[in-house]
Order: sequence, then C-alpha cells, then structure tokens
Amino acid sequence: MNFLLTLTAATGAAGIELLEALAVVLGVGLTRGFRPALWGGLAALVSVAVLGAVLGPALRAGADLGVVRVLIGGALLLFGMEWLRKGVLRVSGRRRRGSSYHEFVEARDTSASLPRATGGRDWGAFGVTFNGVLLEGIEVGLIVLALGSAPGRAVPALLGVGVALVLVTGTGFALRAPLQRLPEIQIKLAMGVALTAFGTYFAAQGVGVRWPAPELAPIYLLALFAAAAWLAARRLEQSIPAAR
Amino acid sequence: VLSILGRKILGETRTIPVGIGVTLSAGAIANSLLPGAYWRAWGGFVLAAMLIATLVFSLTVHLNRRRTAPDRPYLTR
Repeated sequence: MNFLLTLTAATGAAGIELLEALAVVLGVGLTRGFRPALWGGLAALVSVAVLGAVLGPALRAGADLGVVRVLIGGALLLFGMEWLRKGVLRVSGRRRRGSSYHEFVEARDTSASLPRATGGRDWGAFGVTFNGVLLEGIEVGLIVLALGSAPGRAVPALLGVGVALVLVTGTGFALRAPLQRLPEIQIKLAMGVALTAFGTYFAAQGVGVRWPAPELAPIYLLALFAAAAWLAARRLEQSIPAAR
Repeated sequence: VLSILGRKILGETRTIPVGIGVTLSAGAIANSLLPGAYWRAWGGFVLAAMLIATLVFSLTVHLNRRRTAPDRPYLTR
C-alpha cells in the first residue's frame, strides 16, 4: 500500500514540476528553435541528476534516523503546504490561476526578447532553458530525495520520477503549445495534500510519535488534510465575493 | 538564481516555514517532556492540528494583505 502511495505521490509531484520545465522548453523551442532548448533542458537534467547522486547518499550516511525523518518531513511539508495554500486560494477564486501555460508564455516572451544568435550556438536560448529546467529540476530532486529517503521507499520514488518523465514527455509531444487543457490546479492541490500528509507522517515519527495502524496512517492523514483544504476553500468562497 | 531557488523552496510567505519550524520544535520539546505513552499515541494528531492551523493562518494573512492594500491588485499570481 505504501509502495503505491509513494509511487503516486512521486509521480504526481515530479510530474507537476516537470510539466513546468516542459513549458519552458516549449516556450523557448517554439521561438528560438528546439535544438538549443533541448540541449539546455538536457544539460539541466544531467546537472540535477549529478547533484542528487552526490548529495543523496551524503545526506543519508551516518545520520540519526530520527533527525533524517524530521528533515524529510520538514522538506515535504515546505513544498506540500505551499502547494496546498496556493491551491486553496486558486480553487476558491482568491488567486490568479497560474499554471504551466503562464510559464510557457513567460519563457516564450523572454527568449523572443533576447538578441538573435548570428552564428554557431544560440547561448541565450540555451541559458533560458537551462535556468528554468534547473530550478524545476532541483525541486523534483528535493521532493524525490525526501520521499525516497525513508527505508524501502527509494524504488517507488525513483520509479515515480521515471513514470512522470515518460508521461510529461508524451504530453509535450502530444499537446505542444496548448498546455491550458490540463487540470493542473486540481492536480497540484491534490499533490499538496499528498506531500503534506507524507511530511506529517515522517516528521511526527522523527519526534517520537507512533501512529495508530501505521500502514493506514498516510491514508487517514490524506483524508484529514483533504478535508481541511476543502473546508478552507469553501469558507473562502463564501466569505467575500470572488473577483475571478 | 539563488533568490528564485530560495523562494521556490521556502515559498512566497514566511508564515508556512515559520509555522512548520514552530510545529516541529514543539514536537521535539513535547517528546522530551511529556510522558512517553501519551505523546506516542496522540502527538501525531497534535502536530497535524498545528499544521492545519498554520495553513489557516497563512490564508488569513494572505487575505488581510489584500484587504489592507486597496491600491494593489486583489488577485495575485
């Protein structure tokens, strides 16, 4: 059960971040050509993989299990609760519906304003893609490092990233520009709930808590945070008139 | 790049990282002070409640900022 939950959380969270990275690649690729965009994206992914391979084992080696659990939980909570906050605000109409499509437009406009390469490599386009993909990739790396650091969860976490990579690459080829079609806000809110639930589970174990029915704990925590997010969104919708 | 990365990791508001820090610190203190069996059984739900309170507080802060800044757009990105 926990294998499946970790796999789903890793796929969803990594998928959302990779989708934003894809938006940057598409934005730059459509205005400046796909060659520098793909090279920039690939260079950023390799950089993130190297960082993860170096930092992952170093962080885990010799550390006290309780401290590792608190660090893992804290990292997951930082991402999860921020996504939860933004998701609740967006679903209730209190915040603009930002999405990968906006990342796409931003990257397209930035790369269009750069001076054209007169010959050789287009370093401007390479730089914009590298920067964008590196930032999103580091987020993926941190989430996966946190999810996969618990005993027995490295395989589903890495598998989740693989599935997300395949899905997002497929989506990129199928959709190209119209990223607006994806229900990204709802997916991101759900992933915020999942990461917050996992973060609470790990962090609480790190400070001595023994969850009742430990195998089911991530599920009832998911239900608890989903209910809290739903209630908060409902309350915000009702409190003041929304300006969509 | 570093400032964008810091914002991506810590988020847009300080209320969430501070709330998480306070919650986990309170958990560590409670773990050392409260009777073991009591904390082991109920501590997780106390921490979850504190995190939900952090979420509600961060939403309230967001709405209050919008209300007290009429010259700024009501909606943010």
